[in-house]
Amino acid sequence: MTTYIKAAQTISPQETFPDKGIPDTICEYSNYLKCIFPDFKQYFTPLQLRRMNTLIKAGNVCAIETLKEAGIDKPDCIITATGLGCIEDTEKFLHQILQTGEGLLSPTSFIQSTHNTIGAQVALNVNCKGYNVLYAHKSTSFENALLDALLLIKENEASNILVGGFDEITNENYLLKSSIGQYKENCTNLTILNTNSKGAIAGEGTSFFLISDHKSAENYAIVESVNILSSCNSIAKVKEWHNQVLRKNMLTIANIDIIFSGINGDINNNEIYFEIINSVYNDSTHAYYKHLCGEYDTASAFGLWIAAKAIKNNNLPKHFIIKDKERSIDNVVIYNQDNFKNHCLIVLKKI
Amino acid sequence: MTGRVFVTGIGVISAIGNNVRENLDSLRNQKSGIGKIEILDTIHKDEFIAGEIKYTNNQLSDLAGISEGDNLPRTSLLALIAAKESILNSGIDLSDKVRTGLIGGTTVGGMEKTEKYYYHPELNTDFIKSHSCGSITEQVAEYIGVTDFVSTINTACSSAANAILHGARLINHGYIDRVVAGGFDALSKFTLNGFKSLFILSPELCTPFDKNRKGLNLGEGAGFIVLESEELLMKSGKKPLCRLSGSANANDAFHQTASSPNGEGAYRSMAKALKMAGINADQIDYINLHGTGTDNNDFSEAMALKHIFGDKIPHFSSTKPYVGHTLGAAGGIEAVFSILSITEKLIFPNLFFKDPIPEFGISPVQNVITNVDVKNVMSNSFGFGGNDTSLIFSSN
Repeated sequence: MTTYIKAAQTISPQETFPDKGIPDTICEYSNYLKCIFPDFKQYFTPLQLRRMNTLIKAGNVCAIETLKEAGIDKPDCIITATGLGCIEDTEKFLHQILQTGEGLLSPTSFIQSTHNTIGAQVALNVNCKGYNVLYAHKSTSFENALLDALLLIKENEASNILVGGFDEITNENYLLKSSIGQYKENCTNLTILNTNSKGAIAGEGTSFFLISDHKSAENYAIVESVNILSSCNSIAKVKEWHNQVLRKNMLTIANIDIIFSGINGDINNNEIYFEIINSVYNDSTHAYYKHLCGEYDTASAFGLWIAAKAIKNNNLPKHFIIKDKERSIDNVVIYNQDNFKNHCLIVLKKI
Repeated sequence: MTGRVFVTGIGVISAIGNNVRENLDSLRNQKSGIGKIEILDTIHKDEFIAGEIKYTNNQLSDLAGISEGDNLPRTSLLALIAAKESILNSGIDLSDKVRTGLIGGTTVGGMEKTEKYYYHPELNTDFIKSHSCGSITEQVAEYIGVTDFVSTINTACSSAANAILHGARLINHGYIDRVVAGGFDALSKFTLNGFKSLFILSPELCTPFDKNRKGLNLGEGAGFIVLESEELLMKSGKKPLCRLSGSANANDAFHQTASSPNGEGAYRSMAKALKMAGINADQIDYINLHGTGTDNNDFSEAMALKHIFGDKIPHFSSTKPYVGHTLGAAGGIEAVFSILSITEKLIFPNLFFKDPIPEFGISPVQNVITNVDVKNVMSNSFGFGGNDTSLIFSSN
């Protein structure tokens, strides 16, 4: 059973939404990257707008545009992914509890802090009563969701599956994570390739895809496989795993035209990526994408959006490229890892 | 999915016991664990009761057999205790080469530590890393030594049921050969105040499916089951506890927090699970309800039961009056109870029930039924966002 990406939309810190191509120029941010949001007023009534927080609005709108692009009113299933859910409302509710000493609270923030709220709202909006799950497993959340979609297609349980990944950054969360060295301070997204300090560049984004078993000339790419390696910190094993994954997909390293790696500006993380891409993917074009979106748990969903567009257009702007082998774009992998612990590899093929 | 997946181990910690044996004793003796809140530091101690586990984090750390004391979130400690027991119970050896997964379901992950130190990061910053749902599962995976596949699901109160469902699917697809799957959540001010703000907490003992039900009591705990592929069992010759014969997920698509009055999502998940198990509704011997004790859930679930079973509803009960609503853990703890129903030939009562809901006139089991041949048990878990999941465990 072949699985296709039929539609792909992303709301990111760049001009990407709706229906935009890969950006040629990059918006620069200092410290952390925030999304450029569309005008939500064209999608919702004022009453609806008041009830929703930003991430919920972004999730709903991104899902709407993805379905529109696919020409599908209602998907069979909805699978979503987030590392932390709506942080803004989690923080709001926490503050209310702590500041009022557990006083009288409005339930809105509590309801909106529940991680599955976006998948549920989209289901409600499009009246989708099918399978609906949310994965919340750190940096592998989105790959878990995409893997699930592949399984459903294999099971003949569904033909059209809406898969989304979303996370948001707040100033408070940024400060907390920088205080323990997870995020970088005094930096810009334009220099993450060549930093020699600890901490990733923080970011956020919402991406949705329509994953389908229908063949169409309009499709972006074939999702060959989604692979997750948990808790591995041996460089030799990780390298061998890359080779194994490709063999399983009837490919060799030499077939891979582009590897998109999750280089995020953290010196330790960057080193691991360079070690893997330089030794394993010697003949491939090396590309990165987090200078556009920053680091967040579901950032690889943005990576998939870029990769899907690059395959369809057979073109990738120069600013993504670390080392160019000037190959035609037929086979692409997206490699993401989290502090040398959880590793994910999405394998895409031209249709 | 065509493969057969078997349950070979169970583990649980809840307000009625630290392990399977203690939980079973309480279930059998109709002993509820819901009472005064003593461990959770909340101003609502005298206003609400809960299914709280009466151990401090230091004591739980000892129970888990680790020396972390209060350093780990309470959720991780609960999860580790139940996961370890399920592994021991199944007799699997995680150091062998069999591909093993760990899938956890939880709603608020490490929130208990976050709310404690959020305004005092100078005291401890560990909460920043242990806050997320996935970080709890990852901690458990590290302690028990699962490396092949680790994942976390959060579909509110059906999280653990979906973790079990997903684990079975991964086995059927050949991704892994066995899985430790379930759920965990610790009581927190965040959830207590959240449910309070929704006005669905009962100040009294909860009475699911009762005419005068006043809402739910929160609880805490963890429940895990070990699932193994048929192939693995044929190799080892191990006798399973039972089989996971059906599992299905549907969405109510009605309201963000409320269930539809016609119970459509619940109907869909139950009907689909029956279809997958290849059995008719009249072959179900016992239904372990979601049965939270809220007006809305119980009405909606009763409607769905009528829709599926007509006038011949099998024995049914909610075990939440024993342990409270343990949110992300509920589907795991109730899976363990459902499995015990099969292996111990018992059907557990719906404690504190008095009068049926007039619209339905149906009454749950009110006293323990012993020596009963239970072949098929259905376990329901429904969550905010209309995320409904039904599991069916079968003796054959």
